Amino acid sequence: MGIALAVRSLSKDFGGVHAVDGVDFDAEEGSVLGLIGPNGAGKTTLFNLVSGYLSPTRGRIALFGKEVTGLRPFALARLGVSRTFQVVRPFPRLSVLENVMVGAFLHHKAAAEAERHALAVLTRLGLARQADMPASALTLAARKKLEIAKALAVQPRLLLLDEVVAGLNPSEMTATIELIRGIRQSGVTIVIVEHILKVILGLCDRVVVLDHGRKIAEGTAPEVAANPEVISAYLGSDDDA
Amino acid sequence: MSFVGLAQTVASGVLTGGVYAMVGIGLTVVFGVMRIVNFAHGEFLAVGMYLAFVLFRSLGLDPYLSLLPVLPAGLLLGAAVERILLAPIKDSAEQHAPILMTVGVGLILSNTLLLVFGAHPETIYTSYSTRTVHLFSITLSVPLLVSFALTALGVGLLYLVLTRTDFGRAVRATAQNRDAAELQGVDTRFVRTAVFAIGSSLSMAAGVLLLPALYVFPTIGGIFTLKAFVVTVLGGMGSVMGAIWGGLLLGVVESLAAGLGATGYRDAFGLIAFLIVLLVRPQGLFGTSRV
Amino acid sequence: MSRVATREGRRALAGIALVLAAFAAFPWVFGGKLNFGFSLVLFAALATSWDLLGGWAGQLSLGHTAFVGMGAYVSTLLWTRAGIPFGVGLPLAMLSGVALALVWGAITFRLRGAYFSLSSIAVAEVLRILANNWVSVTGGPEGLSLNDLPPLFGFDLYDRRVEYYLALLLLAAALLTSWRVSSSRAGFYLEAIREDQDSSMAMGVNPLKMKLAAFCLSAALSTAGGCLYGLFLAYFEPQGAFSLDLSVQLVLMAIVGGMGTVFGPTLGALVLLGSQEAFRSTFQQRSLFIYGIVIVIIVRYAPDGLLGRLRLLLRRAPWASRLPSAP
Repeated sequence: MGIALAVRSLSKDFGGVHAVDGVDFDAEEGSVLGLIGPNGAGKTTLFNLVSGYLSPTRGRIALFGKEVTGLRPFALARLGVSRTFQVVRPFPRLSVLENVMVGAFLHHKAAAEAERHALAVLTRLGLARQADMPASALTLAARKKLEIAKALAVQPRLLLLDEVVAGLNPSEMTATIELIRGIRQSGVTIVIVEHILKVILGLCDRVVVLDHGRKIAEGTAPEVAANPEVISAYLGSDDDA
Repeated sequence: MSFVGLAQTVASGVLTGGVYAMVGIGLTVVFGVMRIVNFAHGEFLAVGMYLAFVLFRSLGLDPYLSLLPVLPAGLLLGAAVERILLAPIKDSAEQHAPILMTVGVGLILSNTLLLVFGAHPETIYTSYSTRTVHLFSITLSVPLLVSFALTALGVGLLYLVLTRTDFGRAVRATAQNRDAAELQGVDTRFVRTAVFAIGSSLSMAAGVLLLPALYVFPTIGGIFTLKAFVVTVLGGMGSVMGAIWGGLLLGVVESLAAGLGATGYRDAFGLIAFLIVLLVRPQGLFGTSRV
Repeated sequence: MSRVATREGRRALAGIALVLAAFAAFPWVFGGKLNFGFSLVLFAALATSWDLLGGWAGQLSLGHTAFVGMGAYVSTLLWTRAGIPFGVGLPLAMLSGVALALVWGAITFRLRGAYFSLSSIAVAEVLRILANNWVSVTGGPEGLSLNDLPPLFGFDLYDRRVEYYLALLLLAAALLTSWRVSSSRAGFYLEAIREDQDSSMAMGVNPLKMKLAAFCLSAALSTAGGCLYGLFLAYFEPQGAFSLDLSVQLVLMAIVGGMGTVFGPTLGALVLLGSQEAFRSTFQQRSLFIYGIVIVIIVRYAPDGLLGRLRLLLRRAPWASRLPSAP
């Protein structure tokens, strides 16, 4: 198995703030990597760096062995990177189907083909019934599913999920976890940011822990959960609050 | 050009630049708080000019005195436009709504002036219209000098209001982050109306100050809207200090261009500078601004 | 087959054929009103091309007259200075328009939308000043005449009917371009950019490339329209060729009819020019004033234009429930 995502000495400075500071890790192809840390640890900035929305101050990113540092999001999409946004961003005035079609067009130039592919993705996610509804009319749970559908439409090899279960009730959460397992089984490498321990423990092969922009621990989920530095990072942040 | 000639050109440029700065400040403040570019900004200036003209012709009121009625009139007109036309479309899904709306308002204003006053240029002659003053062998036009002084006064007052008063704090808070300001109890609706009213009023006042020095005609607004754009882009959208420097810079650049003989192209200089700044440093030469 | 794209697409194509046929018949029915007819068709084409940039790519040009004027001047100068006949001059002028659009767009599309609109006024004004002052080349305020052109493919270019059908050809090109954009990947991408540019990038959309493409198409068509405009007038000067009125009219037609639709701008042209012709006495000096009021009312109460209102009305009808939900 190759390395889907390799990050080396990745850093991003904003003025004097080191949002991400010298982070290294690998995500093996076909695995699920969890990214956790207290609020403000730099997880979202890291996501933005890996998905091309920010360019790094220092460091390198490689995708399936190919150097991709500094590439813009659309170029990365073409290379197989896809992401969801923490605050879901559907295209409000387009229908659910049209939302997904935008992504489908990446690999299907003709409208009819793109539509077919989009419908397939929606069916897989259980949203086919709402295909013609305007995206703004969906419930939160459905919107979160749509967000994942949009990310899947571009047929990614690396999928970045940003807190996709926040705000869901337990049964919705379980369904989403199953969904993610299914995506992983189809060969997609997944990097997931999440706060909820159950999800991390249930899904992730490996976990990377960030605090104040630096990686403070890495390992399997149980290893990381027992790591005293990790525990104090989370407890420490409670004290600061 | 001799040194004296150069100093002369620059000095006149600075004086005109002062007025440009005032026009620019109105536009930039509105953008900073409301994120709206007021495409009718110059039209308010034209309205101010015509108001002063009418007051002069009918009541013999000196333009500088007509600032007294014109300033509140500007506040009223600006507030009315904001309340009736801009506030309702504020959160429209169509991002272009404010652009189109202000374009429409501009058309209505300039063409009302056209229908009322006709297309021919008008001007007024006061006792001091052609008076000049000599300073270190430089000749300065008195109307421009007075305008500059009044502009400086007005800008100084505005600066004090923005930094020392509660209202000023509310304005700055809203400009930085509307939602945060609301949470702190700022009535952002009022702030928006007030800011637009002030911007319009400043524009109208600039028109009054320009009347003794320029001819007025209904479409003069368009020219000044463009100048206001140039000034604010040069200085950075949303930055008052930037608008001041931008205005002065524009005034001097135009004056130098005219002085070097390229009179026909004079207006083009500012526009080209504007396009270059957009290319090279869109956040403005002086201020900082989000693009 | 496809629900969303193809059905609306086929209907629109049929609509285009109908509209073109109707316009083609115009000179035979209203032979005496050819001048009006020409303006109608040309402005419909110009408004449609404006909308490619304004409605589809979301960049409001308030100075589209820059391209119209460029078309008139470049095609005329190529003939009077270099003896290049109209048939070759027009495509060359189009190229110059596209070149302008590429440079201009590359500079301004990285910035917020309002900056582009501001720059559009500036560019049109700079071109007008240039035309006015560069007397040796452009004839300055005196203007230029486009005289003594040889026939094109045997057709006399000064025959009003020939000019009319040339304009109709342009309208066909504009409508077909608009239709092609609306029912293709490009249309989806442009809509996504308008809805949420950042989100669209994650899905493989390159906003700068798409906007530039739309701009180039718009510029090419508008410049061609400018060449036809110059031909029609046969004599023009800077004020008329780079006229703010013209820019405003194009914007107005698109928003009245409905931005981002295939037929909206044409409908807007019909309504606007039709009213102007029918109520000529009312309009006279007051055209711009009336335009201003119309803009304000439409933006306030009907931002989707007439077509938008129509769609809304249609959707209320029970049999309309299966219409696609996109605006």
